[in-house]
Amino acid sequence: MKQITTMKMPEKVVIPVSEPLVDVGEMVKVGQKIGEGEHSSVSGEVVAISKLPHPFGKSVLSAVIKTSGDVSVEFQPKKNPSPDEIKQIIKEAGIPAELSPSDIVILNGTDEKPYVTANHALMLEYPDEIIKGLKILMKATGASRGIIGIGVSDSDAMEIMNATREGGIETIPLKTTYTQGMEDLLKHAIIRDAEAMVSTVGMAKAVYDAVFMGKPLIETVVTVTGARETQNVLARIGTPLRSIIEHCGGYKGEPKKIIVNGPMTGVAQPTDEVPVIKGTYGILIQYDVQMEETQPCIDCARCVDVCPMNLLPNVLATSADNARFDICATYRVVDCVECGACAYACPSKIPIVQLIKYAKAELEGEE
Amino acid sequence: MLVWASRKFHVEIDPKMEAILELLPGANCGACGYAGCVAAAERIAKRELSPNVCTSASFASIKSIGEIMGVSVEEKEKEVPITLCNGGVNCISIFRYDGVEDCRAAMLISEMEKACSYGCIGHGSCVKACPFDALSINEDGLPVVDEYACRGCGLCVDACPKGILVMAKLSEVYVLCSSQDKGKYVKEICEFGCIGCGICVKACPSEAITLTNNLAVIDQERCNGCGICVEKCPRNAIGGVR
Repeated sequence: MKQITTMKMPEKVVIPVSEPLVDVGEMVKVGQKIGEGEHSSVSGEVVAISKLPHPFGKSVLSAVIKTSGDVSVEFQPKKNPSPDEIKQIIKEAGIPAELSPSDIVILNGTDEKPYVTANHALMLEYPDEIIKGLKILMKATGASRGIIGIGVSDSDAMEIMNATREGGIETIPLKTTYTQGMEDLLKHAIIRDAEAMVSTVGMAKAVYDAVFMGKPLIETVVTVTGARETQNVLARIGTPLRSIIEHCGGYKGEPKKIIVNGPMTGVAQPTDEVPVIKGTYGILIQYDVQMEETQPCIDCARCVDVCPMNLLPNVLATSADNARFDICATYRVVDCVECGACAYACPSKIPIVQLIKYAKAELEGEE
Repeated sequence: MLVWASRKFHVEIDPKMEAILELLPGANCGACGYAGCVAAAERIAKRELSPNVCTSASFASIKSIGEIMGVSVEEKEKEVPITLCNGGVNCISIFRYDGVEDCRAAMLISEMEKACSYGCIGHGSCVKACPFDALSINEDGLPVVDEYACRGCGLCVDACPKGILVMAKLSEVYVLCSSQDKGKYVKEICEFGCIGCGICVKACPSEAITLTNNLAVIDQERCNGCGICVEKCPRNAIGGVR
């Protein structure tokens, strides 16, 4: 069975652009640059540039492109690029990766987030591309080792990656527990005393596309859960959620909540018109949602037990609620990775992560 | 021992400053721009500040402070906050918010809770910020001020993430809407929003109202408070504190 299904061309795409390089009425091609680090994912006419809903809950300037035909710009791959050229290509392709000089490049291949299997599917579908992309990342950062962390339960992916990997690249089985995959924590789980750069297998695939095919980042793999068919979909950037959900057979009933990027760290969306953006990996649709009343904190310390950063979320949340941001700062609120484990564990249903985010924003504003 | 300590650690306090501190409200609201009432009292005693720097104290107290310092003070007209939004529950909500009851926290999650991106979302950051308990959220989901409890410190204005609270004199009238959306859209989503029709602009005898970005704005310096615009507005979007 194919792991990743490709969507047919959506009717329109909505691509957030901060400084548009195109005007309304202009015809664009697939891969054409429409803003700094932003490329059109379809060919067609720009019908509007206005403030539109973004999955992060804001209205941002976006270009709406009505699709017609499938014409793409000529992609020009570069042969045997130098590390500096690679960095340039990655930046030009709009891949949100920060390359720092390091000894080891770690790729996250685990699907530690609930209801997301995109990494697993990517490894089964594109093993060669991922290995080559990793090689490129190693060359650009000057790393001698490449490590791919794969969930122990994904033995099929492990086999494929082991069969395709080359010298200098290792695979490591990882327990698939939540928060393992977060950048710093993954680094900590694998290696302790070396400069390492952490990325994901999806990013490696995008780097491969950019360097070997000359193609900018215009599509991403999204796991859709809760539609009629649960699928991994290769969706173009800017595709409205509605089109992807239709591709997966549509809603099963009256949707109550649509969450982009998983139930733990994701954001519930007010409308299914919001687009897929770079960094979207999951869409979760819930039909039976019960809102529960928040109760006062009873200091049961369940949040303390689950916090991967060994913080005291109960103290942080109560202090933030009482606007004592100085206490939050003392208790290292900035170290929080916002994984959501505390809010999940909380029996009083306190929105701990939101309170922590609030405290962080307030502290940032004070500085 | 105690006698020794009280002598050893005795701090000279200006008796004037103590008397002034007695008269200040003691809420440490910071509206004067200094860290609390003690800091303000010290500066007033040193004649660095005028007694009427405190917006929170009653005029009688300010006058007494003036007598202590031997200066005469003029009465400032009282200012209370007014919400430049009349929507509240009459403005369409896009989704049900279920999180921290605070506007600034809610804004971090989503700025699109109401169909109108300019209006009040009514989670009460201003109510929390008020040191005098003068604000409350009414049944329309909008903050209302108790003008007798309010001392005009302006902390609520700073707390509002939408920037739609302003300090208004009791006699002034304002356009109670901040939406810069097109009139047609405002009409769809809100019962009371300004649609930028311009009737008030034409009606105003002192030419104090201008239309900018689909929104009528009253120039308070020109306005003579005749109240014609309040009557003429087809959306009931113009009003004052009372």
